[in-house]
Amino acid sequence: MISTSRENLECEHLEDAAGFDGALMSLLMNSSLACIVSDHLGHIQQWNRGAEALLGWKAEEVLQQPLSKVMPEVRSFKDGATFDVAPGASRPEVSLPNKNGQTVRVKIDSTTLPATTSRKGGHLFLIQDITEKKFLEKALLEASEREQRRIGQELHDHLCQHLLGAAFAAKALAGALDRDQSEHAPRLHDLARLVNDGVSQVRDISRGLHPVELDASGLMSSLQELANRVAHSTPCTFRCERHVLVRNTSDALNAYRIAQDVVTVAMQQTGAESIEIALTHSGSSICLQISDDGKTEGELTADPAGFAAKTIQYRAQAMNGTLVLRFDPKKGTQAVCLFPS
Amino acid sequence: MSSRTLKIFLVENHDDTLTYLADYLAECGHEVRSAKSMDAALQALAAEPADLLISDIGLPDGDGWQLLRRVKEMNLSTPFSIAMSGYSTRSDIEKSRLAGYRHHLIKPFLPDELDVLIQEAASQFQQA
Repeated sequence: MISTSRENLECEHLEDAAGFDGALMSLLMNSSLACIVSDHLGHIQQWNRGAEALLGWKAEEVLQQPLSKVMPEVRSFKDGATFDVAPGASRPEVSLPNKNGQTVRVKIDSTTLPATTSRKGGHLFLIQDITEKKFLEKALLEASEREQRRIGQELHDHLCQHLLGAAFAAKALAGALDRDQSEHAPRLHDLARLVNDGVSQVRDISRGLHPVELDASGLMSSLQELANRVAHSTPCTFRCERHVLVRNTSDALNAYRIAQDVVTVAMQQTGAESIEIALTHSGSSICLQISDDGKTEGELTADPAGFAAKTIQYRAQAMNGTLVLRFDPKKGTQAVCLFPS
Repeated sequence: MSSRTLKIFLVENHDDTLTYLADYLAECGHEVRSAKSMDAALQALAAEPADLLISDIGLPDGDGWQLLRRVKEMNLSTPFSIAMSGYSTRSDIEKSRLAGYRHHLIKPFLPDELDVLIQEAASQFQQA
């Protein structure tokens, strides 16, 4: 049979593709990254050394076994159609048990393998151990939290008390000058007012850095206080129609810090003329939403890989939650954080 | 500033705070006495009652809530009382209310915030 030049080209492409696939698969299987291949029925066909190192199972213990043995989240695999781990999707982060029953924090990426002459399709999973990454993210948040609290405490305990002494002294002296009908009294009242404003500002900064209390219902009052403080410079409201209790103190603090960071960007970068902070129930989750009407894009959406955006994403992940940041030049910026209640 | 001179008893173990509060209240025309601990306060109040007790919650030998409870147990007269403390939680404010404090001031508070409460105390005595 004489093939046309077009058929020759297609054959070359197929051979190239097959060669490339083979080389890629070989690379993946020899990689330190955990790499698992399943067939179209969800049975494990390939299991590399990275997978063995991460999950503890040797290849001979898992080959031909269902994926659910090593990835309990992959439960509903039927005829290759349904995955809890969506093919082609990059999963956020999940916990997998290793052979010894210990939990390993991982990120799973998966893709569908097309059917070839030798197989009916399947799936490729790349599993990345993110234990160290999570540890560093947590350490970063804790260090930042410690510093904020320390500075807040210092401001509260020292500078604020010092200014307060000056405020009381100035007001007392102004009162004495009033009684003496001194012409200097009004100027001292002005000075007393300036010192009072200084105390109020330091007190606000200190309370922002060191939120007073974050017990179960404390997030609501802390967000209300945040809105009140912001409202001194930009109209800001807090909406919370029903009681929203956040029992985990760490979650409450992370949610508060997310709101605080988003609001700060709204005040400093987006040109917002109004800001709304809302805390609501959303099914079995809690939804924290911060919206502003600024028409300029701030760093959280303009630079999603930047430090500011990453930090609040870490916070959302630390709460086992999700955070979506959107900017619309006509509407403004919206941050929606959903986390388990 | 209040129009009636009150006998005010201040309990505060932080020297600077005690000094500026006492000076301010005296400058406003009130008769001010003070103590830095619960026991000293109880002894002084037993010797001479006050119209208004202003007490910090954190004291070296107890707390402001215990102090007011002891004041009541000892039938000492302090018709109006104000608690003050730093980072206060809702539970602290509730404890102050249950102990019998009329108000709970969260430190740092401004002279104007204190003035409002002193006025309220003064007007109570004027009505009485």
